[in-house]
Amino acid sequence: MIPLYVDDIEVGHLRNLETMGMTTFTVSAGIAVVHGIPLCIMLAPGVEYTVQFSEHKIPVRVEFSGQVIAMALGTMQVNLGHLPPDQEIVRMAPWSAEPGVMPETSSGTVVQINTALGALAAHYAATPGHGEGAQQIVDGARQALYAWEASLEAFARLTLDAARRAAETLDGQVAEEATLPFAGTLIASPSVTPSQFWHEVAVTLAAGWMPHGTASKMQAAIDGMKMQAALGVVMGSSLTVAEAKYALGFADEADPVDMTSSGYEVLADDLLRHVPGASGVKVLCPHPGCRGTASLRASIIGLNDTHGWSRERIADWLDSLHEQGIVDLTVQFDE
Amino acid sequence: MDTLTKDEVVEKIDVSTLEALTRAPRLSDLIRMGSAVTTQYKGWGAGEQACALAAGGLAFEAMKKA
Repeated sequence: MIPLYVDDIEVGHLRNLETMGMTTFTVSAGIAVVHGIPLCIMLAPGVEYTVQFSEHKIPVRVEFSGQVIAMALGTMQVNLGHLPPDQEIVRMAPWSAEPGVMPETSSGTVVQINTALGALAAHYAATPGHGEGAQQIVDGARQALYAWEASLEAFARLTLDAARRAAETLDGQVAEEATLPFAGTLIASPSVTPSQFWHEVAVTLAAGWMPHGTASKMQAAIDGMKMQAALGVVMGSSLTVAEAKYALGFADEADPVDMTSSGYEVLADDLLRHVPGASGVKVLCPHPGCRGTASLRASIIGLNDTHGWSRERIADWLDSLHEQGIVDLTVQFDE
Repeated sequence: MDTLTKDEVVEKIDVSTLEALTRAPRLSDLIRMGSAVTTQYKGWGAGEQACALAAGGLAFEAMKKA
């Protein structure tokens, strides 16, 4: 039993909870923002967990109980298939914008693909200094992940099957989104072998993390590759650490990715600190079909990286938020 | 392309456009200013490449130095 305590949860897609008056429901996967870090928490398949909402608004205290097998940065899906159709909560992944379309596939299985990499990435993302709660989650996930190795092959098959079902169901709807970086999700082709499958996972996750990745995240990706390669051995995969590093662009003989910061992230965050009206504000992603809810910072990054918006278009959207009175984006210059 | 240093990029930013505003500058204004001297990048960027937030950050730096 691993209780998970998180400070916040992305409830933008769970807004129906309020109207439904629900305080308890079961999930198979969930995303939570732990000390500002979005973590996708995946729970053991086939087991139900009770999530207790102590209140219906952000911030909300959530308790997961049960065996956590992994977590990852990225998107999420929540299994609410047990709910009557008229009470279905909008599915969580960016590409699953329409409620009531495919509740049977909103099972969290797609994000389960991220297992090993996610656990280690979360570990690195959560440290240092992000609090005991995050570390508790990470430790629990790692322990459970190791314990899970004994049945890894079976789990891999389950994951592959789930991905296949998702791919078949979603078909072209997700094809474009699935190739986008930063999504953190992968729809595996039904034809891939386990080796190819994990390789694709590696590439996809790398694509997701590297654009705005810090050195620690990159290191997490490398270490995740080692874990992934180890898992690959168990699964009979031919993927090696070297191959994984190559996939990430970290081949020893190649020109390595610059691990040093350009300082632009620092400049950007310095600017945001001088836009007090943006602090703590969460907005709906304006990209058509995307119902993501995130901080203004994450939203701008997502529009820039994931949705490919021009910076001018992003600026226009920001102006519209300001002029509608949603967010005060006035920059405060120090005296 | 990151042939210029961060400071060199900051120096290229024309702060007069912001100073000409008749209202308080916004985050969007700074993003536009920084975007005028950089190309868009998926990632924070470096040199003359910058994402939206980084472009704004560069412009903010330019404003502070002006």
